[in-house]
Amino acid sequence: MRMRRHHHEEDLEFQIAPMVDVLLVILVFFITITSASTLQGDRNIKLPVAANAMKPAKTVNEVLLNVHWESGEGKVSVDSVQFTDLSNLTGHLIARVGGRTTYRMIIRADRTTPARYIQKVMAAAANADIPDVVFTAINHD
Amino acid sequence: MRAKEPQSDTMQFQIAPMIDVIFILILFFMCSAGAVKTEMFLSTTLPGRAVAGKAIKIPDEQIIEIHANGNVVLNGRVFDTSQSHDMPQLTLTLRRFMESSRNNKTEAMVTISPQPEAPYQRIIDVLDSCAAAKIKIVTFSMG
Repeated sequence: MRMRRHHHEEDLEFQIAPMVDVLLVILVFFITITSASTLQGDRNIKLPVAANAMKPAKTVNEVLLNVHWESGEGKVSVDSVQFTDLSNLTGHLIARVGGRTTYRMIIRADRTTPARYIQKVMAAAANADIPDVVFTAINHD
Repeated sequence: MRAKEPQSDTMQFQIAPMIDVIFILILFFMCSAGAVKTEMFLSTTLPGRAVAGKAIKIPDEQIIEIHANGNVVLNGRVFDTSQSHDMPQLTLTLRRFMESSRNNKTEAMVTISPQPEAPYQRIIDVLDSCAAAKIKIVTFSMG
């Protein structure tokens, strides 16, 4: 009996398979919490707070707009392109939608942005035939 | 005294450092979980194009005005204080509205009408209140 245990201890080796399993689980965890829209998100934007906001159903067709508001001036960035004149934004969105009937626009706007600017952004969505608009908010400050 | 054994050529699995690393990882995630700011969404729908010849159900509509000073007005009455994000009075009223629409077998719809200088945070507060009252159809009036 004693000899058997000794033999077992000698066989103990570094198992790479469980180690890889653990690393993969950690990797999957990070991939899950980091969605594509978060990657495109601008960290300089101070998002508004909403406790009852929730994740909508996943959709493949979506466009993310970062709305900046600084010293009375607004600008929108979409797909790494910046728009200070929002009349050009509609054209960009129309090209992005490409005639698809189901498309979602995600607005990540600074909490100090006035309603008139948000309305202009939404008007651009309406002109590009995007009926589904969602606003991004954080769960707490 | 025992003679020193020659060092083994094969690499051996050390469980102690492995457990150390796992504990540090667990500790890190436990500490950071509370501070994580999750980005969530509040939905709205823009008015679409009506199809001719198709019957349209007319919903029960309430119009919520948001003033530049942050005041939220529904049917001429100011709800909650503009300093706080929480809107318990508005949420309660919207819940009652939702319930009465359900009893009347109609859809409850809220239209948000903000003044041009109304802060975006206040729009989100009202949307959040609509979400708490489980009102699905929320739209905006374009000024």
